[in-house]
Amino acid sequence: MTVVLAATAAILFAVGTYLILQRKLSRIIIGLGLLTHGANVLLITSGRRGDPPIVRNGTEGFSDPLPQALALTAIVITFAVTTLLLALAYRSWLLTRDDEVEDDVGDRAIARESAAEDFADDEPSTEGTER
Amino acid sequence: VLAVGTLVLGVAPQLADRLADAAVRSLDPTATSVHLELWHGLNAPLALSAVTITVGLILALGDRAVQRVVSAGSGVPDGAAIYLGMLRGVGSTSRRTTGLVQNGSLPIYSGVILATAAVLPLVALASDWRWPGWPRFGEKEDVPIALALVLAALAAATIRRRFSAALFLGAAGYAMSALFVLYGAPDLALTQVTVETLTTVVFVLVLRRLPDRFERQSSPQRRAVRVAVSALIGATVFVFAIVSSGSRTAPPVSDEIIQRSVPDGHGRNIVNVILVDFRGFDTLGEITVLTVASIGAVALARVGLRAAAERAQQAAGGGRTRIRAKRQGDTDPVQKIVFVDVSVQVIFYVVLMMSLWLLFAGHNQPGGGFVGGLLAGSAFALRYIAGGIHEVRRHARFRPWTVLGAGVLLAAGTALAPLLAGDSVLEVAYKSVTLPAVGKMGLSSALLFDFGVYLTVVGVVLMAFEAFGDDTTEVTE
Repeated sequence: MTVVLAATAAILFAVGTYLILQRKLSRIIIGLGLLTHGANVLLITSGRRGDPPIVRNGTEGFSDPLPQALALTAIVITFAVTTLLLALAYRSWLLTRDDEVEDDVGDRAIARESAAEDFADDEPSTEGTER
Repeated sequence: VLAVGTLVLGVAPQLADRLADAAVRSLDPTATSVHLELWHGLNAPLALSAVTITVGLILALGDRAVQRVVSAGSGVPDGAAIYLGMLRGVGSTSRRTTGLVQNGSLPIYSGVILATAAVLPLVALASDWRWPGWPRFGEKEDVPIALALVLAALAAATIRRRFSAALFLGAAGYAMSALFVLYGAPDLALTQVTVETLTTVVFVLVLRRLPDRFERQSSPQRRAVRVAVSALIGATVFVFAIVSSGSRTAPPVSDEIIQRSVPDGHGRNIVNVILVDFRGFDTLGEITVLTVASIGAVALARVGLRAAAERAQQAAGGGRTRIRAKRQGDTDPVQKIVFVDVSVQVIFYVVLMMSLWLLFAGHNQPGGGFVGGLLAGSAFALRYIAGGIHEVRRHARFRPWTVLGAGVLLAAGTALAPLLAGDSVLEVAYKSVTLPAVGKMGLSSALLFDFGVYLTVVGVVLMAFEAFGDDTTEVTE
C-alpha cells in the first residue's frame, strides 16, 4: 500500500458512493462500478508487489497471489451484477419510460398512515381498526 | 342407585372403609390404613367448614352492600382487555417505526447503510488507536494511473450524458488493468480488459433505449448530504487502507500457497491454482451467483415479451410460424456491411480458439476459465455487431441457458466426483500422460472444473445478449 493508491481507492469509493446515493439507476450502476474499482485497488495493494505469480524457477519475488484471486472473482461478479442492474433499468424504462427509482408506494402509505394515527391518537380507537 | 349410595354412605361412611383402604394402599403402599367416620370430633376441617358457612350467610344477608363493591370492581380491566390493549400498542408502535425508518426512498436507505459502514470501522479503529506511520508515498509509474482513475471517476460522476458516463467508467476499468500489470497480476489485467469491453457493450445495448441525458433534479441540500456521506466514506477507506497495511503481524498465508502450488495443485499459475483448487469452493459459489444474476437479468428484461409474441401470433391467425418482430435494420441480410461481416467471420474463430487456448494454458500460464469464457463472450459480441441477436443465436448453437446450466453442472459435478472415490470435495485428480503429437502433458481434473467455469461465463455473456439483444416488439404495459 502506498499513499497514492490509498488516496486513489478513497476517491473511487467517495465518487462511487456519491453516485449510488442518487435516484437514476444508470448512475447507481456506474457508481457501483467505481466502488468495485476502489475495492479492487484496496485488494490488490494489500498484497506485496512483485513478479507475476507464475512458477518458473524458484518461488521468490512473486506478487501476492491471494488478493489477485479475490479481485478476479470480484471483477467477474461485478459484471454479472451490472448486467442484472441494467436489466432492472431496462425493465423500469419499459414500464415507466425512465430509470428513476421512485419511493416505494407501500412504504409511503405506511408512513402516511402512521402520521395520521399520531393525530388521531387521543380518540379511543374502535375495534374495526385492528386488521 | 347412585343417589341411594350417596345417602347410605353419607350417614354410615364406615361401610366403605375397605374400599377406601384399598384405594389408598394402591397409591402409596406405606400409608397407614384409613378409617371413614361421620363425626371426627372438633378439628381444623370442621372449623373451616364453619367459617365458609358463616361468611356465605353474611354475604347473602348484606346483598346490597356487596353489589356496590362488585360493581366498583368491574372498572378494573380484565385479562382480555389488557391483552387487546397490548396488541394494539404493538401494532401502532411498529407502524410508526416503519413509517419513520422505512420511508421508501432508496437514496436514504443506501445513505444510512453506507454512513454506518463508514462510521463503525472508524469507531472501532479509534477505540484501539495505533498509528503505524505513513507508508511510502508511491512509485513513480503509479501516479499517472492513479490520476487517470481519479479523473475518469470524476468525469463519470459529473457528466450529464449516460453514454459518456458509461464510457468513462470503461476508461477507469482500463486504467485498473494497467495498475494490475504494474502489480504483477497478468490474470487480473486480462480479465479486467475483457470484462470492461463486455460491460461497455452491454451498457450500450441498454442505454441506447434510455434518454441520453440525465435531467438536473436534486436540491442543493440533498447534494450536500450526499457529498458529506461520500466524503466520510472516502476518509474511512483512506484511514483503513493506511492503518491496515501497516498492521500486519503474521506472515501472509500466500507464502504457503506459493510453496504448495506446484506440488499440491500441479499448476504453475498460482492465481489459477487458488481459483480452481485451493479456493475452489469459492469459485463454485461464484459461478452460482453468476448464474442466478444472469437468469434474473433475462427474466427481468424479457418478461412479458413472450406473452406479447403470443398475442401477436394469435392476431396473425395462429399457426407455428415464428412471428417476425419489428427488427432494426441491421439484422436484414441486405443491410449487413460486407466488410464488417467478412472480418467478423474470420476473427470470430480466431478469438474462440484464443479463448480455448487461455482455458487450457491457464493452469500454468496467465489465463484460465474466467478470462477464457469472457473472451469467447467477446467473440459473440463481434457476431452481434455484425448481425444482431440472430447472428449470435445462429452461431451459439445452444441456447444461452443450456450453456449456463451445463457449465454449473460440470463444475459442481467435478467438485463432487471425488466423493465417489472416497476423497473430499474438490480433490484434484492428476495424471501425467504422453500424447503422440503434443508430448508429455499433465491431465488434471482441475481443468474440467475450469471448463465448467468457462462454460458458465460464456453462458452469462450469451444471456446478456439474450436479455438486451435486438428483436424487440415494443412491449408496453
